[in-house]
Amino acid sequence: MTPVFNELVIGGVMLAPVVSSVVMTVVIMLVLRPILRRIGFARLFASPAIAEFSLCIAIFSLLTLSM
Amino acid sequence: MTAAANRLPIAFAGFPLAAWAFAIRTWASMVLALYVAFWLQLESPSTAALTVAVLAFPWRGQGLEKAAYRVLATIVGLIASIVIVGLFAQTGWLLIAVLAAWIGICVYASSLLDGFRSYAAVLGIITVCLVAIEPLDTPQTVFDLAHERGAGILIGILSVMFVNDILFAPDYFPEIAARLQALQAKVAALAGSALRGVSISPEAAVALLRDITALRPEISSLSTETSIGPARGAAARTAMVDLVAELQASRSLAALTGSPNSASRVSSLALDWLSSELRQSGRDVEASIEALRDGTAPRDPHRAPLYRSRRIALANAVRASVYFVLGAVALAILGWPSTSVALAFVGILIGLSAMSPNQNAATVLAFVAVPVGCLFAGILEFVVLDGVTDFPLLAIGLLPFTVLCALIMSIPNPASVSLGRALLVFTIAVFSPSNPQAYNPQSFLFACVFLGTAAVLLFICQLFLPPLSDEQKLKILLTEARQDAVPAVLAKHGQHGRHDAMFREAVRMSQIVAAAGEEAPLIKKALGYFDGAAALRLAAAALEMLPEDLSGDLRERAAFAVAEGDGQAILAVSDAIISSATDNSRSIDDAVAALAAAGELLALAAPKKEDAP
Repeated sequence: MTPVFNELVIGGVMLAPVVSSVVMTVVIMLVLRPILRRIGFARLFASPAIAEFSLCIAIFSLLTLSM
Repeated sequence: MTAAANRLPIAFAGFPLAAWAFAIRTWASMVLALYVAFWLQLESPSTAALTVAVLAFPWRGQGLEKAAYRVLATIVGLIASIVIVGLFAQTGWLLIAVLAAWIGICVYASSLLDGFRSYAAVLGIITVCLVAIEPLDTPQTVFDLAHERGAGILIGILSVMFVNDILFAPDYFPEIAARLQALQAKVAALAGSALRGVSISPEAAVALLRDITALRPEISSLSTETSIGPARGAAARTAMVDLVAELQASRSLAALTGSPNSASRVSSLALDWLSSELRQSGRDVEASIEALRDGTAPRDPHRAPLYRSRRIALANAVRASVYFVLGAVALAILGWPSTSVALAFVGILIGLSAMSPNQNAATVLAFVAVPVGCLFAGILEFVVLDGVTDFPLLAIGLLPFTVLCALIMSIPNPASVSLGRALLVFTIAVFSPSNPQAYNPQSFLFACVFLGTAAVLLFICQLFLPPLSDEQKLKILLTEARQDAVPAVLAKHGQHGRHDAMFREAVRMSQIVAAAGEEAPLIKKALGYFDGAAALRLAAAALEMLPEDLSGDLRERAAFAVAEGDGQAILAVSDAIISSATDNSRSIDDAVAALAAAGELLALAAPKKEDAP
């Protein structure tokens, strides 16, 4: 099956779907950060950095699959 | 764990293990970025490698913060490039004037900011130079170039993030906490001697102020590290502000203990109040450092504002625009083909030198780094690789150069940090990895010649119109310090903002020290303004603390004495308030003690003020 790409079109310029996924991932991560801080997410893992990076990748992948 | 790893005493070839780990991380990020860029068949994979060179830092937070600003500034720069080229492509010298104005605006913004924010403003120049100026003769390619550059930068940033996370790049907050702790030990030692009545030398105080305020740009990196980063950043900023307050309280206490009229009742109240303020700020610093380690928000957060001199920023901006126009005129007169590349390099070097506190030193650095970078790129391209097309061989070939530059960057000395980064950036920029690599000696020579021409042109332009000298900067800063040390300006800060305002002046104080060098009389003069402003601000805060039921006459007298900045009058009013008070309530004691302390400090400073020209 040929994949369908939903390009973002701004003023006649087509932007690749990956651009909108990346922007949405960044926005979701920025909104999530205060919540993660409140629930003590960083204290649950030995390496909070890898945990947050993995969360970021998971969100990006879900967005890419769902678009 | 990461903090311990950072302090391992094991060293190899004179560099600690942490420096080698950083060098290997840098190399791994660069190879990964290049691999992904080649795999995606990007037009300019060198942008991804250059992004890694720019974002290489020993700690995680710094790289992430710089990456965030790099994305933001690139978007602004790309929009500016498309707008400028779209509107002015056919206008000849008007285009140059508009580009010079853009460079001026970015340098102005860069001079008003610090740390990576200043870098973001400079990146506005670099992006416009690479996207709009370099292809000046083919404006139709601007949009494609903007697209390619954006993709390259994104891949570079993701590679750095991935490698830093997987290879456990150490967090930055333990390092900041250790530095704050060391500063606190020094300030506490001074506070201890102040409590015993030993005076504090101006040199020691100024050196500490400089060390404390130097942490400011570094602390902003804490916010990007993890989700609890913003709380850590706020705690570190608060610790810094409280350290300045503790230092100033110690100095005031030491000055008052040695004063001739320290036996009177008002004076003893003032001394008691200052000692309790000193102890309180000491406790505040400890609590903030604890909050930084725990990752909790501080109880009473401070902003730690930066001192911004608009006059210095304007002078820098005008000079940067003039250098660019002079460079363009010189290249137009030379009439070589494709001089737009050299003009783009002139713009980039102007931006990079504007970011440095000492612009002459930055030009000298470019003079050293450009030929060495060209030499490295030449050896890498024509001796080490010499025609190979396999990616693993490219990765192995990059290893020694990347590791060497990263090791130079890890030496804890500002000059070697800048040199290491400049070497890595110029090597990658001249080598310009691509798939397939062209191995064209002519384009290599062109790149070297244009980069060299740009460095020489900027040097000659700076001979015609020298950058703002230390003396000029000092004059501007001292004038602004004098203008700000008047009661009308100081009264508006209120009780909570008092320490923040003091920190802002401490930042100016360290800028003055950086410009004055060894000139002790000037530093003493600046310290006098700093002390005067702190005392006046304390007096204004004490006025707000006076109880509601105080008689109107006394309140007016106190307000008038503070507005005049007259220490003796403030002391007389304090005495009158104490004598008139029927009940010795805690609030009136505190307010009068603070007022009296301010009065004593102003009275002590007054004879010196009359001596001053």
